[in-house]
Amino acid sequence: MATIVSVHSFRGGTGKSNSTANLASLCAQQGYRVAIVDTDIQSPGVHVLFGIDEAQAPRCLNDFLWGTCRIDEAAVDVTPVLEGGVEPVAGRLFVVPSSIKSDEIGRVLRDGYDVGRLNDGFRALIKSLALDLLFIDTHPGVNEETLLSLAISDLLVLIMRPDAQDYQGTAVTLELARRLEVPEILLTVNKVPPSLDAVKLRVDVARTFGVEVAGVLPLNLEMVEVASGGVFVTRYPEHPFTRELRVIAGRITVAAAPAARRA
Amino acid sequence: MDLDPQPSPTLIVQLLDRARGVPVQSWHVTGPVARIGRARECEIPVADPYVSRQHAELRFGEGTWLLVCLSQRGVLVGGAPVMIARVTENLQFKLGQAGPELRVVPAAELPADLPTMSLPSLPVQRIEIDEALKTKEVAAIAESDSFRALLDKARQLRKDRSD
Ligand SMILES: Nc1ncnc2c1ncn2[C@@H]1O[C@H](COP(=O)(O)OP(=O)(O)O)[C@@H](O)[C@H]1O
Ligand SMILES: [Mg+2]
Repeated sequence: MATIVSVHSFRGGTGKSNSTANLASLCAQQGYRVAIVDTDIQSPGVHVLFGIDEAQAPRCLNDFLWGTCRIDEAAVDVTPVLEGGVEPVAGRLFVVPSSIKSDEIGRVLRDGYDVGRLNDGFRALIKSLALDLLFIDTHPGVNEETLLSLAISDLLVLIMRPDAQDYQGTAVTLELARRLEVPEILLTVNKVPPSLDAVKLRVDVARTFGVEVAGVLPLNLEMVEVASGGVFVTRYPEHPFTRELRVIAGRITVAAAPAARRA
Repeated sequence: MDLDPQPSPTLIVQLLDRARGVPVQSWHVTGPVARIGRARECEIPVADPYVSRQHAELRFGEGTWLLVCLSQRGVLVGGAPVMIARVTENLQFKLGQAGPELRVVPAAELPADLPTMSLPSLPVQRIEIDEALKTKEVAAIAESDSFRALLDKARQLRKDRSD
């Protein structure tokens, strides 16, 4: 039985795609069979981090949603990307990208798609790739697809910045996730500036939101330099930021069903 | 939230004239945080239509000043957008593609008679949630038929998977 992990934030630019890519990579390095589905069709981001271009991914999630291919035909094996890291990769990592063609994005906005089909896709992917963990990179805000992703998740990782603009929306999303009976919810604070006391922030956030804080991640200058040109944890395996992410990845795999544990 | 206990070195920030690049205004920033933007409450207010209300921020922490972009219009250093940059003397940055340029000046270069200001230390920032608004926003979504249908479906799917 695979564990479905949704990664969500109320606002865009919070670090969802980067967090998803890094956490999924760390899980694969630990020996799990992992896939990421980029459901942020309006502003896809995961493919860039793994250097996936059109030649490598002739099909994408959009094709599956329009019924022109199976979902596993849209999956790209990105395990070789992780092998640049120090640790040998024991597991596997796949990415199902969203289309980056603007006419495709326009089509989704115009015509919408059947969210039920998305759910069928997740199940088919888990089966055909024998996945232990499926990460869903979601669209920010609250819409029908997001709620569906939350509803079928075993674990929700909510990401927010230490910013007044993020607090209210995060509180609303958290409450909706509870009402959808998401079994486990973790909060991660990202882009924490060095002038804030991370320990105090963690305590304040946990108290205010009444949820487990899985990690407090600093604003990371090297990450800005890497920009969207790679997966941070494979480039900087010994960086303190990677260590912090590894703790969160560990927490996610604890939540994964024991049957899924291979490492 | 706690601010960095270390005293921050004073920073001098100049607003440059668009056409000639000469300084037209400057501020003494003593930290720990100075916001740059069109909003009046910013410590460095820049009245320019191309500048966002809160466009960027200078923050001191762990012994270094950082320039942090807060606006979707971006902050450019050497023509390239940056999200955060370490502040170095003579760092020059632009508030968005169409906005004005600012510069961090070495203290020795600054004429003594320019208008300056220093900042009081900021009050402790608190995480605040408007519970009444939250209840209203949650209800607007959770009390719809489609939300209830989704919950029923999710329950069924979880049951199917654990069987
Ligand atoms: N902890 C961090 N420190 C610095 N930059 C970060 C951090 N997390 C994310 N970023 C940067 O923020 C930008 C937005 O991140 P992304 O993962 O695309 O967000 P989202 O998917 O939520 O829109 C990217 O340029 C990314 O490199
Ligand atoms: Mg994204």
